[in-house]
Amino acid sequence: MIETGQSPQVIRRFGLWRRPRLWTLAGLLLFSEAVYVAMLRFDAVSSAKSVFTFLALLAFLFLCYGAGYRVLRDLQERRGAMVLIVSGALLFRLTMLFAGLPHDSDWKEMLSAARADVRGRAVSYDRFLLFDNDIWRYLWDGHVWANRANPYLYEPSNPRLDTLASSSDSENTVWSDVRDNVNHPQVPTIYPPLAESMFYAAHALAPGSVFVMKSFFVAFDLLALLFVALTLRALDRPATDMVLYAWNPLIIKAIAGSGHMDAMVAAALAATAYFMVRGSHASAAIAWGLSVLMKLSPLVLLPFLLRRLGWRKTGLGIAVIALGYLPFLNSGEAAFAGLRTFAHRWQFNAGIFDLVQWLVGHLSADPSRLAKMICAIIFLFLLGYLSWKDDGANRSFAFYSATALGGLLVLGPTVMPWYVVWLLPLAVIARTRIWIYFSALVCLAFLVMIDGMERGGVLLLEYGIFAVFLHRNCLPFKRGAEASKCDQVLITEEQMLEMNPKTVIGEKP
Amino acid sequence: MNRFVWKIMLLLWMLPGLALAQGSDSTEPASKPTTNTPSNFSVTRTLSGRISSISAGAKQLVVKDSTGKLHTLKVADETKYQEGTKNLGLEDLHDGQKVKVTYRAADSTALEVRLAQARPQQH
Repeated sequence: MIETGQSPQVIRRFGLWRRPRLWTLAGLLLFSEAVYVAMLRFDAVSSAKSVFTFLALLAFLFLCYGAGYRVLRDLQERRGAMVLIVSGALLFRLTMLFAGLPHDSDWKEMLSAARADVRGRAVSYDRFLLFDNDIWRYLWDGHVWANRANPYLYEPSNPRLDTLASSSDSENTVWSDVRDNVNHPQVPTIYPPLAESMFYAAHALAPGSVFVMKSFFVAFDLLALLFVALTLRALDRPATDMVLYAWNPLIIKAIAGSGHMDAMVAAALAATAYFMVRGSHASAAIAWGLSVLMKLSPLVLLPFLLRRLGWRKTGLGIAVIALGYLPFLNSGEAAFAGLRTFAHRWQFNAGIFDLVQWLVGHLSADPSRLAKMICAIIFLFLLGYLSWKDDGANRSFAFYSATALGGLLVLGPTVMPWYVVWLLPLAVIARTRIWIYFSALVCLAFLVMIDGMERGGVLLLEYGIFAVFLHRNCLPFKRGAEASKCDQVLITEEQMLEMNPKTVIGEKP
Repeated sequence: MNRFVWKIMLLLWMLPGLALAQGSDSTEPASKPTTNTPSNFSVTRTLSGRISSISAGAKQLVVKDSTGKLHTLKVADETKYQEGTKNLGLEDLHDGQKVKVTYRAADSTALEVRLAQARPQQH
């Protein structure tokens, strides 16, 4: 951000006065920041007015984001642009760390509430942080593990954990409130071991602090951004493309605003793509293994890893996963009990799954189960097709991974908006714009917050526009003159070498 | 894969919305007894403090928080009153009692009023 006192120096140094595009970018940064500040003052409640206002703010942010990317496309002055991109990324995230504190408090009250939160003296944040409340589960799981209890064996409402909620320390009464705020307290944790370890690590820094937990995830978010930037550099692509990750409003809202742990998965997947592009196959396998230990979904990338790394190095990633689960062997099947409940009972914002369920509604007594099987088969078909088309090049890994993970997401019965965060580093690297568009469309899912009801019209809009974008922008296997932009990633390594003989795959250009 | 197949896939992609657009009877994602009950999609807040006043007639409960700020909450038929595992009624509440209230943020309606349990005195 350009501060008033530093403006002349910044303007001279980066020649802003000669560069209207940089000024435009700076303006977009300031507009976006104004909206993020407005979100802190925004009363996020379950009413039509509130939810539509929220979506309007998000839409404005996405407009600024798209305009920012457009401005950067033909920009020659990369250095000044990078300063603005990174400044914006940091500023937006820093601002949104305060989201969820009482909206009607002034700045002094907000800072003092954040201080109380960091010190573990009070639960200062609202139960819902911009319409999401998953963070309380992370805090509780960290607390449970810190007290040597197993979060896979005991659900938050389990009476055996009552002692953890009632501290003898009169100053520390937050745990009762944290426990009350956990959603679905009757379900044990669904998060894999490394995610649990991270909750424990954040707990060690500041027990019960929402602010610290969010900051922890933002650190991973920025790590993902760093890997995206490094990968773009390794691919000889403009580093300014990182704006697509750095300024993405869904990422900023989901991670810094609502405190979702998915930033850790994004960082691990971005690291996998980076190491793959650099030809550091062992590191890529380890990074992939770590991503699976935070969410199981990246398991579907196994065929693309095998194609590139072979069994031996992929085995390294599998060993990492096995090692991660080792400390929880005593949990037995209970380690997956929460996940099983999630897989059986959760269903939300799932356009394709809902369609299949509707189609088979009269064929089975349990259409949901049949729909899951059909969607799984469709996904396996997609995965098989992608594996067949996969050219095995290191630089195309991100494309196939983004497509497979995206397929898994949209075919699944639960399409939470923040799940798209996993895809975005890969999508930015692979230039698969469809997932970037989807990151905006999926925000329509927040309309459920009006009254708790999903609406067919909303799904029609969300998946209908998605289908149009899919048709126009990302039919990835079109050939010839009509080859789409996202196809650029499918250029073979040989073609790349022909175009730029200095580029050596696996080494920095 | 030829263009025809992609168009079929595109059509399939668009159908879910059409299916659901026919009304909530065609599919029932929200009305099913899934874990995502509407309450999980309803913004609630909590408030701890002492009861300042109760008005059964006006169906109002005023709670004073630790900073001394007064919060006026509506009570409704759906409001639950509890002390530990014991269910209570509005008539069991008295001024000065310590409570933790979970309320719907949109209209300040109390959903659950939980009385703080008296701690056993140590001798």
